Amino acid sequence: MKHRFVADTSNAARFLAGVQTLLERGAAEACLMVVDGVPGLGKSETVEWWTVQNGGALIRAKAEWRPTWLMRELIQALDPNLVPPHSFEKMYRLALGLLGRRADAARLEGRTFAVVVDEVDHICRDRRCLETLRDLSDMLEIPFVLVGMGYVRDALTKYPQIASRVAVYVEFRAASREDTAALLKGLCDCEVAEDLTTYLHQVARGRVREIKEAIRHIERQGLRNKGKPVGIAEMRGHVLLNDRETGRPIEVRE
Amino acid sequence: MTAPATSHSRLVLERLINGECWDLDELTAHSGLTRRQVVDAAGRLIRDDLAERVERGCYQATDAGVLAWQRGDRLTSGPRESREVRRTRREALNTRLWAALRLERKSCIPDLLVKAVRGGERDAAHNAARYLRALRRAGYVRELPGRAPGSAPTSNGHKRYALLVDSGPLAPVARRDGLYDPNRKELIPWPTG
Repeated sequence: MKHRFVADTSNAARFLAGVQTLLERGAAEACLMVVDGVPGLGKSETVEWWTVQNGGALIRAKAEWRPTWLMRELIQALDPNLVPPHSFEKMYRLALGLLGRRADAARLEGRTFAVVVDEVDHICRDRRCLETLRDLSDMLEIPFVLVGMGYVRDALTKYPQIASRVAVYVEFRAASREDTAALLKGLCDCEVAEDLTTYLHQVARGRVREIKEAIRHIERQGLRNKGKPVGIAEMRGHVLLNDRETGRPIEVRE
Repeated sequence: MTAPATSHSRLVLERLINGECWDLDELTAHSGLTRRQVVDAAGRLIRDDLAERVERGCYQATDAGVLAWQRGDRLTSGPRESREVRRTRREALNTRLWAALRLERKSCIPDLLVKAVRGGERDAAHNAARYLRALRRAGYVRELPGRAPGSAPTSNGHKRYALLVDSGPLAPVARRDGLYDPNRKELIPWPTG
């Protein structure tokens, strides 16, 4: 499998368009972006790739997070050499200072610094954690990207003061047939025929994780096929991927 | 009062202005500098359009170089103009590899490359392996037992690394004498033996 990020999919394009909207937002204080979608569609991989490419910071919310733990993790992500102070107020001021310095350094380099909070569903019902993120984002107008499975969008309806800060919502959807073809072209070491692409799109149900699993199986057949495109005929009787719900292997049939 | 030291660039330019071809060995022999100093100085002169490499083994001063010599211009290694934007190493693969490693904490090179490459890098896997080796040598990462499965049927798998020292967002730099950590502003010498 080729080791690269495929940015040609509709989800990645929607995400990047959302980022652009966030950066060009009309209201300066609307600095939040919400990215959601069911598991397995590539949200975490996309935001991690984007964070690395753009020099942002990423933290992952935990189920037991409270504002103090959130702050400690944020400070550690920004500067692991610091020992966070004990009081929340001091941590908050320290975090603002660190965020400001990273934002200034990014501006000098002609880019925008952003913070990504993954697994944000863990805290979507914790008003204090959400308010803390809003305060940090508001104060310095630094974009925060909140990534979750969908609960956060509903939860925000209860907190209009936070919802009003969301500049853009991006929903990750099941990969289309074109997305499946783009992933196969971008990642698979061998050429995949159209009939197998269509079949894979159907059985994987647009889930990126499953598509990548199938690529590994297709590549094995590709080696035996000596450079010719791998289609349904070549894969017939071979395992393509494992069903996520049942764990049972899915073989290629007619 | 002692006379100001003549810069290396000026010493090299002094040889080049007579219009003859000089190669690096000759410049080294006649300038009183080490070969490394001559190479660095020649590089700076070429960068500043004061010298040129006409062909292999032939360095000469340009017209601008002759003029600079005649005017007695001060030739330094500093920036030629003010830099409005601070130079960034964001474009360096190692910068993004370090960022990816900080994110993942434990990973193998192929997975790091998925996040770090932009396309167009020459020999990204080889350079990534070299960088990880330097980090391991300095004690910043540790090789984990077991390997991540490779995609080829005959693959032995990929080495896995765990990040031991997360010193901050700036990527450590491998130098000849050790690993320089810009987050802590310290040089970790390579272990001997």
